[in-house]
Amino acid sequence: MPNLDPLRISSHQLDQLTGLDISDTAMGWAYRQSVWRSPRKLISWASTQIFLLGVALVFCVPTALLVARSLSNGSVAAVWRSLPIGVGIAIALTLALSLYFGYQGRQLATLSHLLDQVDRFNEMLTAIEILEELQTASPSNLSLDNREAVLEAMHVNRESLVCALTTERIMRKHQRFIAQRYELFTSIENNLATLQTLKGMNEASEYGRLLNEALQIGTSIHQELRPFYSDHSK
Amino acid sequence: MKHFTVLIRLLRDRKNFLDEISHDVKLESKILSLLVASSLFFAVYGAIIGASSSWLQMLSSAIKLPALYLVTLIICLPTLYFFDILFGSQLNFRQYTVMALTSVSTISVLLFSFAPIVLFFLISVQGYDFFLLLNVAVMALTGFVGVKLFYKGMRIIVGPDAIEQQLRNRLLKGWVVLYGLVGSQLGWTLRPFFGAPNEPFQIFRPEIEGNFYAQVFILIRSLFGL
Repeated sequence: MPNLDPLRISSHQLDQLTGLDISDTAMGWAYRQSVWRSPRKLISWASTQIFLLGVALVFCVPTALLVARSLSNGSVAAVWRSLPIGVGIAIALTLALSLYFGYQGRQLATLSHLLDQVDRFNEMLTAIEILEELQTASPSNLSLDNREAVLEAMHVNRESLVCALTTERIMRKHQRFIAQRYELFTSIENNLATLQTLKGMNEASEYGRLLNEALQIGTSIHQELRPFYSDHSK
Repeated sequence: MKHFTVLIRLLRDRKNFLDEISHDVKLESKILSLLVASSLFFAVYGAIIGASSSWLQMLSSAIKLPALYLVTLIICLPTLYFFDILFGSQLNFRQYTVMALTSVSTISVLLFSFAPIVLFFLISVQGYDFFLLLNVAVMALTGFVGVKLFYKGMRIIVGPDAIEQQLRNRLLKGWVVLYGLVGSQLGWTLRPFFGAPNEPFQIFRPEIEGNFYAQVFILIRSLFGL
C-alpha cells in the first residue's frame, strides 16, 4: 500500500505557500470564513475569544486601577469606581480585535476558500487511505479498477492547489502587474481539463465518487482564481 | 486546547521551538497561545496565594499575578528590542515578543507545578510570615530558572555570528536585571497578593512608598526574631 503522506498539504507547507500562519480558524491575523459554517471551528473560535477576554482583563483591569489610584492620590473610592472602566476597556479591546480579524478575513476571502479546498483535499486523501485499508482487509468487496485514476486526479489537484495558493500570495503582495500569473492560470486550466477526462473514463464505483469530488475541488480552484485574470484582461 | 499544546511543545522540544522562532514560523499563534496559557497558570497560582486570606483576595490575586508578569514584560520589551537591534540583531519585534513570552510561560508552568506544595503549606501551616516567605522563595526560584532559560534561548537564536556578540550578551544580562527590578517594584505597587491576616480585603495597600527589597528584609528579621 503506497504512503499518501507526500501528497498531503501539511500545515507547514501551507504557511510557506501563503506566507501566513494558517490554523483551523485563522489566517495570520484574520479569521477564516469557514469558522461560521463548522460547529467545531465555531467552538474553537468562541473559546479563543473567552481566553482573549481573559488576557485583556489581566492587562486592562490592574492598569486602570493603578492609574485611578495614582490620579486620585490613593483614594479607595476612585479605585473601585475605575473597576467597571477597566472591564469595559477589556471588553471593547476584545470586540475591536474580533472585528478587525473578521474584516481582515473578508479581505482574504479567496484564500479562505482555497484553504477550505485544501482541507477537503486532505480529507479525501484520508478517505482513500481508509478505502485502501478496507480493500486490504477484504479484497473481494471493493474493486481496484479506478485507483490509479483517483491518485492521478489527486496529484493534479495538489498541483492546482499549490498553483492557486502561490498565485493568491503573489496577487496579495503585488496587486498590479504579475506576468507569472498567466502561466500559473494556464497550468490550472490544463489540470481541470485532465480531471474532466479522468472523470469521463471512471463513472461508477467509490473511486468514481472520489474522482467527482476531485473534479469539484479543481473547479472551485478555477472559479476562485478566475476573477484575478478577468480583472486584468479588461 | 491547542494553546496548551504549544506550551507543552516549548517545554518538551525546546530546541525545535527556538528553531521555529528564529525562522519566523507560526509566531502569531505562538504569541496568542503562550499569552493564554501563561495567564491561566498564573491566575491559578494567584488564586491559591490569595485563598490564604479571603475569596475576594483570591479573585483579586488571580488577576493581579498574571498582570504582574505580563505587564512587566510589556514595560521591558521595547528596551530589549531597540537596544538589541542597535547592536546588530536581525530579529524582528514578534520574535522578541515570543522569546520573552517563552520565559514568562516557563515561569508560569513552574509556579503551577509548585501549586500543590504551596496549597499543602497553606492548609497545614498557620504562619502568615512563613507563607509569605515560602512564596517569595518559590517565585524567586521559578523566576531565576525562567530568566536563565530565556538568556540561553536568546543566545541560541541570535547565534555566535552576530555582530558585537560580547556587548549584546552584556546587554542581555543587563536587561534580565532590569526585568527583575521592574517586576519586583510592580509587584510592590500591585500588592497585596496574599492579604494580611485579620484585616479586611484591600484591593491595593493604601501606602505607596517603600519597596519590595526592604519588605523582604523586614520579613526575614521578623521571622528570626531579630
